Amino acid sequence: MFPSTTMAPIEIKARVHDFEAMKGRVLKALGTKLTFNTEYNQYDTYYNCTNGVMMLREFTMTMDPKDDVLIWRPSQDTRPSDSVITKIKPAEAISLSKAMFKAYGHLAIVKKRRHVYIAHTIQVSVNLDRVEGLGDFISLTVWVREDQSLEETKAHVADIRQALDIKDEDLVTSTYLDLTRAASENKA
Amino acid sequence: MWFDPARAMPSNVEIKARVRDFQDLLQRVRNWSQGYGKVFKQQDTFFTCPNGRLKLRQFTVSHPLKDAELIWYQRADQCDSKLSDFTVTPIRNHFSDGLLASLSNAYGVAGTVKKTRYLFMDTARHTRIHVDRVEGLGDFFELEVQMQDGQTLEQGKAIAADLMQIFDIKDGDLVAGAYVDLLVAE
Repeated sequence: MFPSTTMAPIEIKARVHDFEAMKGRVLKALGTKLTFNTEYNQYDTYYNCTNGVMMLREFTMTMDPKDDVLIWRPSQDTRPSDSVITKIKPAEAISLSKAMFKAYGHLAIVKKRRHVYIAHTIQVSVNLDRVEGLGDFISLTVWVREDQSLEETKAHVADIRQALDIKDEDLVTSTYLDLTRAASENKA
Repeated sequence: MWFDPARAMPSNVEIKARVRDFQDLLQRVRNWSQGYGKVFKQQDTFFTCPNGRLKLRQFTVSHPLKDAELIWYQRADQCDSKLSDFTVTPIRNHFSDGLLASLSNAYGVAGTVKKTRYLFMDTARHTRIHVDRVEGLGDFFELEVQMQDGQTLEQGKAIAADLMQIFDIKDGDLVAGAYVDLLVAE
């Protein structure tokens, strides 16, 4: 998405208490710099996996047609950009999901509505997620520009965080997979 | 929209037999079908899997180059006509090596089977006929009767028995198990 850099982006994820208010702050903070804006449902099925994380992501209710994707990550901590992605035509995803379910079984299912906001010129992308059973979350990703020091980028991130009013106590480090599994264990 | 495990599954009645004279059988099947059959070179990679079989089928020779296929199936390993539950997902060739790497890393590879397959169709009876030359294993004949709605297992088996008779396939040459198991056993 931002080919000008090879450095890992800075990523922040936090709980959102008032979805509409946060959406307003995101639109205000990115303002005229907003270059891409879309939303879709993501139906993520995680399969039992001996090594790494295996997940089928199906997109529905999308503004543009999108291929579904089977994603494998060497570990939970792997950056999304280091995942191996197999694109599947939506009509064929049902067959793939049967194969993977039969072969390995489900580990967890995460359903969410994702709003995507990208401001390419300032290398910022924001996801606002409404996750079924878990609540609302924001994830902010800022790529480090090559002409910027890490300190400058951190200052840039701090400015955006302030504009979005993301508080320390709302920060989340767990993945949706972890949160979903923890929630289902609590229920059991 | 999404896969529902309770949905009805497609299924096949299948038989596999050893072939002693490959050219002779191929010629007889060609005469019967009045065609040369479609020829494929296939490489099947099997991934370690606790339930049924999962394999990625990649085509190395075919015109036009066919998409790869991710195939899951389950069947009872018995010589008698085997009823199997399966699903086939086309994988665009651009992505097939990535998927091979993903599944190999995620689950491990249980075996690899390379073969040249001559494919013939008995379209009236929804049956695929394979004459296979399997690397390291030998030559085989296979039937896959694709069961239709309302068709009984007996009707499927009767089609298989009739074709076995046409091609002079003897019960004594029937083989249980998949190529990958036969390779492991060798």
